[in-house]
Amino acid sequence: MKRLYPLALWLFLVTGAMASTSHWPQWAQLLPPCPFRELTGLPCPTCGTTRAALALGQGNLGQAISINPLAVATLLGAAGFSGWLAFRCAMGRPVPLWLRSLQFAWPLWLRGAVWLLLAGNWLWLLMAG
Amino acid sequence: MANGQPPETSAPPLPPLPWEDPTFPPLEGLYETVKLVLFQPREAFSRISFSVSLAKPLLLAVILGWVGALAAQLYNWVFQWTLASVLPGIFSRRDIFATKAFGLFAVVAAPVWILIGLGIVTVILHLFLLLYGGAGKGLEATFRTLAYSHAAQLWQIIPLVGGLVGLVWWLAIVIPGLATVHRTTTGKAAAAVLTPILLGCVCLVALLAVAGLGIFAALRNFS
Repeated sequence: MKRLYPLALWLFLVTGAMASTSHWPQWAQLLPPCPFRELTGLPCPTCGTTRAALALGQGNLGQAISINPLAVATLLGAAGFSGWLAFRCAMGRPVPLWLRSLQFAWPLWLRGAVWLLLAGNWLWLLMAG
Repeated sequence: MANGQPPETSAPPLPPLPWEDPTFPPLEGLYETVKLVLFQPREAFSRISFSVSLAKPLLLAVILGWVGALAAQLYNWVFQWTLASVLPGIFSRRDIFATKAFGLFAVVAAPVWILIGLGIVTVILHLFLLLYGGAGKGLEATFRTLAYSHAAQLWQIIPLVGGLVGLVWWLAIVIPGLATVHRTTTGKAAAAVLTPILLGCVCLVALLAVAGLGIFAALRNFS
């Protein structure tokens, strides 16, 4: 029974998030502006995440991607990945070994790839203004 | 000894943190651990045990974070009450009610926010530790370090500047803490902690706060 908990929690969170999408714009107004942008006038690497999530909540995938592609990929990836893990757990399968090893030292190519992704996304945001 | 080198002596194992030591009474263990984390962070974090249940550091984080949130909220109310006494009419009755209601909600729901926040910060800082090549140990090590670093929340009991003191103190304990636990350099630990702060992961945290609010709304709908 215990192995079903992660899947139940995942379903609860996803359902809760999807059921409350109409309230997101009101809640988003409560958030403070980006301090980095206020200070420098330039977008920070995560700027637009909230707007991208709002667009995603309204089903506008294209608009969400144009606002912050990496944020959309991260949000959808995190939701899908955690669902996959929860499903595996419910099936009684352990966390794969390759995944366990990812929490330790990353090879140079992987670190470089993630830095490049972050830099590329930031460049996108800077160009979009 | 044949080559003239002194024999290798293994250092005696460090005692566990008082909070993790079952022989300590809980309150004494809490006090001693907080003292150690705040004033001797390197020693404290080198004594973290990985065989102890994760519930232990989690409970400590919730207790200390709750005390900090309560203190901050109390000062907020006192400040508003004092300002309203000195400058009558500055706040409408609705403003005062809203502040009190929001504050009460923040204090009551603090454990939930502390847990959500701890999870988010653990993932973000561990990612940057990985990117800087400083994650000698797994996610659990980062989680335990950050949970104990909640000791800095106690500085919230200082009026007005408590939040700022707490933040600076948190940086001063979490950087050597991560360096000690992950057996990496202080520079890599500092870079991992400061990069997300400087680059404004504030936005990401804010988004996840919205997601948290969504969960609360869902809870309310389901109940």
